[in-house]
Amino acid sequence: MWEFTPTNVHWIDIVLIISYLAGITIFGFYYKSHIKTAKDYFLANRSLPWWVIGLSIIGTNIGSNDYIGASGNAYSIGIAQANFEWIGAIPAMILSALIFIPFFWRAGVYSIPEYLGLRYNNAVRFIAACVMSIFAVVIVGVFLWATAIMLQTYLGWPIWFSILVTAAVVGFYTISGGLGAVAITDTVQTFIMFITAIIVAVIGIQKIGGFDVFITTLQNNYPDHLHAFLPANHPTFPWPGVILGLGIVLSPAYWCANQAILQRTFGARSEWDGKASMIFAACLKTFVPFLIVMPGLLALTLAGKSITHQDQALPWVIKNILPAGISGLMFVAFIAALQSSIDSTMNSTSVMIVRDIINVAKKEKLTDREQLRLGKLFTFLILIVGIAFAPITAYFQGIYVYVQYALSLFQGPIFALMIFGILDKRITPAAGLFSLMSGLVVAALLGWLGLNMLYIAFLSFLYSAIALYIVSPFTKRKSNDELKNVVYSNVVEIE
Amino acid sequence: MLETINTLPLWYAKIAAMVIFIAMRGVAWLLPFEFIMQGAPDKKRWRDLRIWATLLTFIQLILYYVF
Repeated sequence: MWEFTPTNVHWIDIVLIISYLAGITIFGFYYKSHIKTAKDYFLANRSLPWWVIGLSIIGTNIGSNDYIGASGNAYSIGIAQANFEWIGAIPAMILSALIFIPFFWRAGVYSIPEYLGLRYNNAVRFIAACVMSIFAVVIVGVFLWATAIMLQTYLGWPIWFSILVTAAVVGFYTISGGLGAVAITDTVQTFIMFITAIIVAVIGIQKIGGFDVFITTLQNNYPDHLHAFLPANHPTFPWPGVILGLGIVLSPAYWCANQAILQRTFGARSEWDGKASMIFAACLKTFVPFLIVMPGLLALTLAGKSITHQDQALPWVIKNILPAGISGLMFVAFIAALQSSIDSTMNSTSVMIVRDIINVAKKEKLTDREQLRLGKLFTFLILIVGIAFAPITAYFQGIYVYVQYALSLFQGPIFALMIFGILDKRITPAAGLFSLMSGLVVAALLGWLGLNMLYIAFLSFLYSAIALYIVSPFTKRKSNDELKNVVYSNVVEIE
Repeated sequence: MLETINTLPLWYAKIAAMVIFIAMRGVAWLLPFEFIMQGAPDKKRWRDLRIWATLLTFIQLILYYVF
C-alpha cells in the first residue's frame, strides 16, 4: 500500500527518531490518569510551575517556519533575522508578563476570548473565538504537512504514512493528557532543541576553524549580515516596519493575546508563576537566534553563496556538517518543534470551541463533565480536519506565508481591544464590538490595497484604537463591579 | 509619507529599539512590589520580576549596541 523509499540514514539516527516518538507516546499514556475534570484537561488543574510553562511557551513558539524559514532568512539577510526574537518579542513578553497575565489569571479565565467576553460582551467573545479557531485549525494542517515532508525527505516514508504517524503520536498525548501533557512534552522538546542547537553550533564552528575565523569570515565577506536592522527601503523587512508593525503591534498581539501561547500561563499554580514563566521564556528567547539563525550563518560561512535556495540552508547543514547520531538528534529537534506547536494549537483551540463558541451559543450551559467530553472530542476533530487539510497545503505555494499574512489582518484590532480594555475602564462593550468588526474590514481593505503586512497590522491597530475612543463616549459602559479584576484601575487583592 | 520613511537612516532604528527596551524597564519599575509578588510563595529578593526584567533588557541593550 505504501512505498518506503530507501535512504542512506544511519541506523543510530533511525533508533533516535523512533525512540523519541515511542517515548512521547508512552508518556501520553502515563499522563492520561491525571485527567478527571475540565479544569484538569484545559488548565492542568492550575498546577504548572513557572519553569515548565516558560520552556513550553518557547516550544510552542518555535515551529517549522522558524527552523527552515529563519535559517534560510539568516543565510540571506544575516543577524537581522534575530529581530523576530529580540525587538519582535522581548518587549511584548515583558508587557504580557507584567500587565496582561495578572489580569487573565485574576479573572480566572480559560481563554483570551473569555477575557474579552468579561471585559466587553459575549458577541465580542464569540467573534474573536471563531476567527482565532478557524486560523488555528488551518495551521494544524500546515504543521502536519511540514512534518510529513521532513519525514518523507529524511526517512523516505510515504507522505500519508508520515502524516498519520505524526497525527497519531501528537493526537494520543494531546487528546488523552490535555494541557498538562502538552506542557510537559513541550518542556522535553524545548530541552532537545536547545541541546541540539548548542551541539550544532560547536561542531559547525569547529569545522570552520574556530569562533575567531567564523566572525572574521562574516566580517570580511558578508559585513551586512552582522547588522541587526535592514535599510528603511528594504522590500521585505524595512526597519520602520519592523519597529512599528512587528515591535509595537504584531509582537504584543502575539505574546499578549495568542491563545496557544497564553493557555499554559492560565494553568500556572499561582499568579507569580504565570508572570515569571513569561519573563523566563523571554530570557530563553534571547538565545533562540543561536538555535535558528546560527545554522544559516554556518551554511553561509562554509558554502558561501553556492546554495541555490535559502530554505536549503538548514538541510545543507544537516547533510554536510553533522555526523551520524547528531543529524538524527537535529531531526528529532525539528520534529519536536513541530509537535510542540501542533499539540498546543489543538489543545487551545478545543478550549475556545467548547467554552467560547458552543457554551456561549447554547442556552443551557455545559456541565464540567460535558466540557471535558467535548474538549477531548473537539481536540480529535481538529486533528482530523488538520489531516484532511494537510495535503491541500501542497497546492498553495508558500501557504504558511499566507497564513501569517491572514493572521496580521486580525491581530491589530484584537490587540487594540485587549490593551485599551485593560488600561481604560471608560471603553464600552458596544465600542469594543464596533471596533473589532470594523477593524477587521479596515485590515482587509489595506490588504486589498497591497500594503506591507507589517504596516497593515500597525494601521488596523491604530484605527481600532481610535474607533474605541470615538464610540465609547456615546455608549453605556460597564459598572465597577462588573469590571472587578478585569481592568487595571479595578484591581482587587486576591488570595 | 512612505517616501520620507524610506529615507530614514539606519542608526535611528538602533536608538528606537533601545528606547523601547528602556521604556519596558521603566514600565516594570512603575509597578508596585506587592503587585509583582502577588501569588509568590515568599518575598525573597530573587523573585522580584522587576529585577528579571532589568537584567533581560540589559542583555538586549548590549545586543543592539553590538549589532
